[in-house]
Amino acid sequence: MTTNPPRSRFLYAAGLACAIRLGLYYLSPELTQTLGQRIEFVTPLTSFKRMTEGLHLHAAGFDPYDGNLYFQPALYLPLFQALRTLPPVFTMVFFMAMDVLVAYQLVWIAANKFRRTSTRVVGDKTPADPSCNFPEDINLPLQPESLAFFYLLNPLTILSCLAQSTLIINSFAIVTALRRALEGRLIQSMFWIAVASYISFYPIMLLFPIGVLLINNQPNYKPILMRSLGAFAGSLVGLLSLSYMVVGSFACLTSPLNVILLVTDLTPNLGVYWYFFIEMFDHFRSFFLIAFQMHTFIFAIPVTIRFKNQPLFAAIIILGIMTLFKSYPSIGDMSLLLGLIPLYHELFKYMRYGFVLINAMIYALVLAPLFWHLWIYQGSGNANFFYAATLVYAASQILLVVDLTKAQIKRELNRQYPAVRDKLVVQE
Amino acid sequence: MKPYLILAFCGTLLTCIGGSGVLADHGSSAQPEQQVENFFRPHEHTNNWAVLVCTSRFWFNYRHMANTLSMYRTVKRLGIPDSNIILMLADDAACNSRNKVPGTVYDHPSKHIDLYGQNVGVDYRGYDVTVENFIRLLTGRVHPQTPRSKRLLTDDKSNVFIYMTGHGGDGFLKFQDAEEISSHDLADAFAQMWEKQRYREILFMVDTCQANTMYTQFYSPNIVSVGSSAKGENSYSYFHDHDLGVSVIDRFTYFNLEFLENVDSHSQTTFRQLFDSYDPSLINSHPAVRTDLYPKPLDQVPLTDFLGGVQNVELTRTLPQSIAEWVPSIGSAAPPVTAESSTSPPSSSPPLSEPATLQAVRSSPSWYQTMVQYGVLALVGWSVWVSVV
Repeated sequence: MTTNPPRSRFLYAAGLACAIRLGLYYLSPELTQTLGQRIEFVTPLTSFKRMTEGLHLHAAGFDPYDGNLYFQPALYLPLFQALRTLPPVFTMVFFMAMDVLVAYQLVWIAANKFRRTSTRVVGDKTPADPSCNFPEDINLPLQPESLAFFYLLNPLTILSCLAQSTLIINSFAIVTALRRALEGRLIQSMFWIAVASYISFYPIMLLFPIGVLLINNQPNYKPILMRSLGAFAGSLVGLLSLSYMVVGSFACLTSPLNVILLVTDLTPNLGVYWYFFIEMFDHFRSFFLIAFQMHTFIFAIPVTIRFKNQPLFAAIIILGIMTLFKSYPSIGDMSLLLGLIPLYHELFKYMRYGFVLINAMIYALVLAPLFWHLWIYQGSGNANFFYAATLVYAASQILLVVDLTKAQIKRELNRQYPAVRDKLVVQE
Repeated sequence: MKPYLILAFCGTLLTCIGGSGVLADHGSSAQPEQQVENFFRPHEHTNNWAVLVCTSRFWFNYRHMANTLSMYRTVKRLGIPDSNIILMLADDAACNSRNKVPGTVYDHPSKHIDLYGQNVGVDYRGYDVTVENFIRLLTGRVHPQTPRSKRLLTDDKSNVFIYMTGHGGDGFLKFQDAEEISSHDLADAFAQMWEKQRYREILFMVDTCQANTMYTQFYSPNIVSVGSSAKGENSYSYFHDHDLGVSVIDRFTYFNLEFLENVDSHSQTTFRQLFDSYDPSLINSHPAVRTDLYPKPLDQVPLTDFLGGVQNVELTRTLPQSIAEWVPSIGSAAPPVTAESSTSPPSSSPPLSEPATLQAVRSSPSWYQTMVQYGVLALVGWSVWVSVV
């Protein structure tokens, strides 16, 4: 466990971020309303508007899941109900605080990871030439607090925070789990992964890399495995029973899972599911559902196995795949991914498609709202336009994930066999 | 570390003390039933219909088209929706090849208001405006496949405004130069309507030559009629548009419209005031009103009773027992409603900020609910604190 707390640079980042968010909030109050309705930033699972609907139903004594509008976890209800008793600005402050906390955890992860990388050796092979230093790796120019800047000042994060997307709680759970796993705190990391899985089902995939992180190359892994699984199961059961007590029915479990796994709500979003399932015949629906969902989950174990020596990297790749192929992605997932990428900045020099993917991302993010306007308001476009922009977005993410993987593998190869560092490697 | 933990816990507790407010239960009483009955008693009609008939066709009868369309715009402005207006027009003026400004109908040479506009809903047009269709419309004896927009779907609580304009004579009205309807036919049609309970009250307005003869034969109750000219008199047109080459409005209708310009849906202007405003020297004929079949004095009948579609809204703070039965889990197990006031005084009125219905449904959260709420908040606060530190 690291002993150096984040320095005052983090406070600068946090202060600047809060100033920007609060400034934008007070400058144009309808910005929050407008952003809160944009489908790029909010989905049926993270929309704050639906949150208020669920709160209203809950306050009126009804089951919030009855209206088929509210799919968020039941434990949000007491939390946001308490927030509602305060003036509305406190809701904004809450989302802002969550953003800052995510950045805080990112800084801890970075501090941990940077400390490890400088002394880690890949695999069990030492470099062939011991006198060969890797100056670009050891003298890491990036400070951990810079991650806070990258994450908090990313315009995607700012807009996502202003849109009051409840995904930030999910992101917080994921980064806390990663941080505690890096620090070796088993029960805490399992608890937070349980929270993340309880909120949206997909982080359950992160159990694999986090398990590897916790085992940490010890030969005696069985007791750790048992303890972690027990902690995970116990936390999950505890959370579910607490939500049952809040809501009073098992809809707290079935309703969000229905939407996440069976994709019953077909509101357009930045993902690839809605377009297909809008026009699918019922006969084929289950087949395609299995195909799509399996595509998301199937990469978890192979990625973990391949990168069992860099489990944090495996976690980031799995997060990237999750962002791509989850049923209701939004910009919030992307901003978390972009916040985690600088952890592996040593891979940037190995990445070949940087220009392409940055441009594709920008095109997608500019065209998506344009085509949305053309489709919905003007009536001169149709859903294909918007879906094409979504596909470009997905393509850019795929490029990112694939390029990162390739960069990591290349770096591994270079460290194992320094002789091939500048040469093109061809597999025979 | 520990003091901060306790502080965080207390903070979360304090913030959610206000969150689970206990709302007052409301009890039902005899008041709401009385309120509902009183609401319906004085206003005996619940909906308004308008039947506007222009019985002429051809370009030189432009003014009759303009008459009817002006009345159409007026009743629409005062609140009667298109679904409650039956407009019968020959509809050959706006797109007539002789119309210098096609697609428009004006009632003033200055052409400042286009009566035709973008959203005129003509129900019977062209050759469909016949005596048979008119009488079938009034009596409701229409073909089973008549569309809904061509039916007069009035009930025994409807006030119907019937306006007719065109060429007429002593006891008859000419329909489209081909046939005529007599005052007896009209009286019988109204009698049929009364028998079938198809109206509560009728306002019959007619603007033709010798119009007052049209209403002399009525014998059904609750009809007030007004005509533009007496027997032996003509009704005259008012403005002549030298640009279009035709007269664009008739005098009687014009002076009615002039009076109605100052009336909106909130006005309490009465029919007495409207009828008193007629000046025979300006109208060049003697309009008259027949009220012997109408029970109420005209100075107590507001114009919006016939010409407007005003919804009466009254807010009640508590639900009547009969409606309370529809909504489950309203916490009022009150005794049955009695006519005299119940022993308990009207229950504590709920705070003004929240509507009655929502309050009625929420019951005070049990100690179990509150405990769960606080517990969740405590858990959330503690876990976030511990994860960050």
